[in-house]
Amino acid sequence: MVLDAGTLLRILLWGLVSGSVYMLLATGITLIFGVMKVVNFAHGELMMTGAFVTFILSHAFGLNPYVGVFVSMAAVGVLGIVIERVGFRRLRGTAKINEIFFSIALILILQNALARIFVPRFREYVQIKTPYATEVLDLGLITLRYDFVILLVLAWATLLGLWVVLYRTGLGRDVRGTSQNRTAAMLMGIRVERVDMLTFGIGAALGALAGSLYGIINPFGPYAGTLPAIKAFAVIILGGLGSVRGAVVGGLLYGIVESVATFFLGGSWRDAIAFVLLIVVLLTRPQGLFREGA
Amino acid sequence: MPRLRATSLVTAALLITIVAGVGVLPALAQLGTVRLGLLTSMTGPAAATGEDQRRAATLAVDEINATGGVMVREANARLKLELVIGDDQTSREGAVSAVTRLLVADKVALVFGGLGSAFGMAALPQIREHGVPYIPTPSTPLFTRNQDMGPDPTKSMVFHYQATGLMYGAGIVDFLVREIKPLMSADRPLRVAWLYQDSPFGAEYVRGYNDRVKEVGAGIETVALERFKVGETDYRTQLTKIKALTPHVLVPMGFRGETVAAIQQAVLDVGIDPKKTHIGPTCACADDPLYYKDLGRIGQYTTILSLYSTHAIPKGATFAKWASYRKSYQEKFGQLPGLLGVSAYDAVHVAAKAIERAGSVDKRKVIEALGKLEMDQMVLPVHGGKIRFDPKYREVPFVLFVQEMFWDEKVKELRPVIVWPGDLAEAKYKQP
Repeated sequence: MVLDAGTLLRILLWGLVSGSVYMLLATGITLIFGVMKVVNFAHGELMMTGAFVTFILSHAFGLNPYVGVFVSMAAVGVLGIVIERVGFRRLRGTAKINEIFFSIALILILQNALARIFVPRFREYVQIKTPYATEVLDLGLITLRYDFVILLVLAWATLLGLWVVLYRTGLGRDVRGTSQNRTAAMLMGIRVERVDMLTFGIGAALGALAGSLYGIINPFGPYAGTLPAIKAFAVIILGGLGSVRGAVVGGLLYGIVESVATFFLGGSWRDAIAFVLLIVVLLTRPQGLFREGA
Repeated sequence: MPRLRATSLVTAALLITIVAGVGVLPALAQLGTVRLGLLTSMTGPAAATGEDQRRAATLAVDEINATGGVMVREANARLKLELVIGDDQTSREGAVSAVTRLLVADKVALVFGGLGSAFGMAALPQIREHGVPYIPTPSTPLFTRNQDMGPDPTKSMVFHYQATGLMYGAGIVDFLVREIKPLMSADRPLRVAWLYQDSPFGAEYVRGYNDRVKEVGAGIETVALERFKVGETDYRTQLTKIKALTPHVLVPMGFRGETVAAIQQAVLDVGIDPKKTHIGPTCACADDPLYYKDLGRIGQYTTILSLYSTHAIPKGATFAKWASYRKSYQEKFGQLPGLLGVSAYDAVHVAAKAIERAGSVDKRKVIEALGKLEMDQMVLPVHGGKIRFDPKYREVPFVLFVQEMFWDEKVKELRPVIVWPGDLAEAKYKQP
């Protein structure tokens, strides 16, 4: 088989696309971890909740999915705030195992709730249809659906927006301060519980965006969040726990390695090779690629 | 002290009553009814297809009960059927727990149904231990071609009621050689690429295909055997590789959602041109009302190899029961049935007939009756029109056919036309 430039470009493009979704998901998880030191295993289910909200808005109400995405982010962001206030905040200071089991319970609750609502109506998979599903951009060597272009623009614009919030606003300063030293942040008058709540909301909203974009390019179901979430956890370990920069670079790297491995070794190696990369990084740089505060 | 003794006596009496009651209840239920256990997915990713099986089995049970039930000589009475559902939760662990409950707590006379080969296979050791007759409906031939079943698999309690992956794989080759090769590569080997689910289900399809390719000789060249994991829905990288290999045929083999995604990604994202590459035949398990709706216009000219069609009804006596089955199902449940539901519907009738022939619900007698069974085909078409489990592998020789998809502007959905084999075909295969 001849590996021409068009084929090579496509492989890298698919890696970039899936990597951008992992990146958004991982950024949400790492942001929450960085500030609250909580590992929310149910992040994949928040992602799927976001995808289903966007699906319903477009399917039942005819809303353009790229508008629906923002409504979904707001809705899941509020859900995240509720989860933080009702669940994780009450567990703060108790054994870590309580947080772990709470998030596992959340996985089951969200999965079964979504399955109960959606499966009888839409079977096991749905996909968000956009008005641009058959519109194609000709780039010479390859053609690209508009949906992929919009996905990349939205993902990167959101990250840029997050960077602005984190490094150019008072809220961002509070978030970074809480992440670096919670006690010192409290002594400096930062309302850390408010920061926790907002961070969880932002993290959940990023998950909803990742889910909605994922659902525009791939079919998904109530249980489809588990695998991307596992990969996102691998990404944050790869990039360095609590590091947003690590989540971005790790997500992209993971997506591209996954795509290249699938092309040369086959689909069965898709997950294995990416996890081999993770092991290599952990052995050579146990703290991850970019360990730092949020 | 006497008061304490009295309390103890009352407690003991209550406990005995409860324990005895628990033990007796299933038996009591068995006196008036025959319990059939449907082992299928009622929760988890495959729940919707499991629901189709539950509905279809309910329809069959209601039909039989409306005639008075099953005549059981040993009871000297017609006994009503009772459907008991075992939810495998779309997982192996769930299947083990569900079948255990069916066998131990519900004490079913027979187990049937199922969607995922892996889940049905996970239940096999329990079935074997209890020696209860089992009519699985997933496609893997390993149900009855399984060395672990004992020294003589033909004397096992498993009777496979589904076209196997081996049958489908062979059917795909036959269709490609007869219909596609003359049109696309008459004077050179037909280049075929597979994108298939990495599971026992997908592997058996490929095995059946490879076996038949060896039989037919040099007419087919397999250029790619790309796999994907169950649950994965992004196949763009594998499809990019397949496109680079310029095949004449792409066979996407997976469940309904996977197949729809594979075809859409092949055409829209990777740019595989259906005029140069025939897409299909896809799996019979995709033949579901939502497949025609979800695939959309890009599914035009793709093919599906099946033994039951959601929309088409082939001519001839072999398919006489399709219209009435479809009508009854629609009237009762307000929607169209799918293939796996039909298998469950038929399996209930097969079970009822075997119990009637055995004249008993005794498991050994029912197994013996299933082994000797010969009855008119139900909804699924069978060669010769009679359901018989062959003595070697205890499989049924189903009739397979290929449907080609065409866009119907009136309903804004795809609709199938049967194009193969010749004796069933409504039209010739049309190349785009």
